[in-house]
Amino acid sequence: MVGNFMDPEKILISSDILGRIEAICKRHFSNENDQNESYIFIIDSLKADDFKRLRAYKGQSKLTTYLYSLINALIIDFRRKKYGRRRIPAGVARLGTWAEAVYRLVCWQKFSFDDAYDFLQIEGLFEGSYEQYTEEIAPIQKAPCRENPTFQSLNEVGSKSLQNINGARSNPLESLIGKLDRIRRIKALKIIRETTAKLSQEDQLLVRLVYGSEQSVKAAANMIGFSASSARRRLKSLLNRYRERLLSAGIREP
Amino acid sequence: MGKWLNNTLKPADSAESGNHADLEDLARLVDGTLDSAERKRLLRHLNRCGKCYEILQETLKEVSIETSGKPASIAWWKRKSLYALAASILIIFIIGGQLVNKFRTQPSPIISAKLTLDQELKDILLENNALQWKSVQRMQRLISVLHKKGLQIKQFDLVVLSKPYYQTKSLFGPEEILHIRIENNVAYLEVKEIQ
Repeated sequence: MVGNFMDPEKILISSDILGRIEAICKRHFSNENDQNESYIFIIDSLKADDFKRLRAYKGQSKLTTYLYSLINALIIDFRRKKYGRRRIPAGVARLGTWAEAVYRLVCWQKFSFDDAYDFLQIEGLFEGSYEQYTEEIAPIQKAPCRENPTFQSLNEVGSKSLQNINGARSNPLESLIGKLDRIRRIKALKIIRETTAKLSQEDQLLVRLVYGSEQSVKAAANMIGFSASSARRRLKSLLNRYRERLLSAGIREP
Repeated sequence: MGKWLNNTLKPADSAESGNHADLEDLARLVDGTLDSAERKRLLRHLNRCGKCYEILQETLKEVSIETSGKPASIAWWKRKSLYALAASILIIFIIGGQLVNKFRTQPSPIISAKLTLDQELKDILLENNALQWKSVQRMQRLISVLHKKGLQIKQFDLVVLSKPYYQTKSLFGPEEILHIRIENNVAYLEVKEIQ
């Protein structure tokens, strides 16, 4: 414990804690330089202002959970500092919001250019046809991208997309999306997004965590204040709601 | 993680993102110890703030790794027992090595041991980055350091290093162990970091 409970300096000499920080950095970055830089950034940030961040701990949560939140927040800060929005090349930014979105999706989030086109349609950021899109992304393909060196290869990026879709089998919504053609996929994702936005705050987060980031139902339920069985019942009924909306829009599993 | 849904359902960075959730409140939410009113307020924020949602998502991952018996790093008590095990093995090898020396009439044995990589050993490894050395002086220096550490080795004709050794410059540099195996008068060295 920190704050009035323990000397924060002791936390930063604990090999267990340092090992956890290192493991988190490794999980977030595949590049060794980024792993080392983020590790140093986190240690420096934890030490900054006389361990201000560690001293902010009031002992109301488990220390390890607090440290995980803190370290993950710092990882995000590090990533934004290093690869933040300001780094979008000027040539891409000049093309407009749609081009910035493509750059973010392909370079930072490692989607393929094809996937980026679908997301643009969902967001309503690009009105043109796919053919126009393939012509207009030419300058984006030439833009530098440190995070994703395969960025410039249109054909390969899709197959090498680093997003893990293995979970799709246990995720009925993702599994459905994966089977749809482009037009239907865009339509279905719009419906899923709109339906989610209308759910209660608890149900929204439950869906986001279980179907969006594939956390376990038990962990999500515990956090939201449901029992695991009640969360499962809720998810079943929510899936029915999505199903009805999708069916009424003419979308069914092929 | 489902790429389509994750990206579609992820809260966008909105204006509300300027005022982020308290990290300890996020931790309490993960622990399941927030009261109902606080939880409602936080859930509303999490459904609108991309950064806080991402912190929550990653924190949940870490906690589930920890609770699923695949800890990000080994618990201290497990480490201590590992050290104890390593020390026991080392003692066995030291005693074994001495016994082997006494009964050298038998075929040349394989000696192996793990030693904490201290500055004396580092100095020898850092002398140059050749992966094999036959320099008598350098080998003698290594033998005398090994003697000090209780490994009674009389000689070897060749030292083979698994990879060039570079000293870690970080203040928080990991502890390193030198794995040494001596077989047919060849000393095989490998430096490993303690995870």
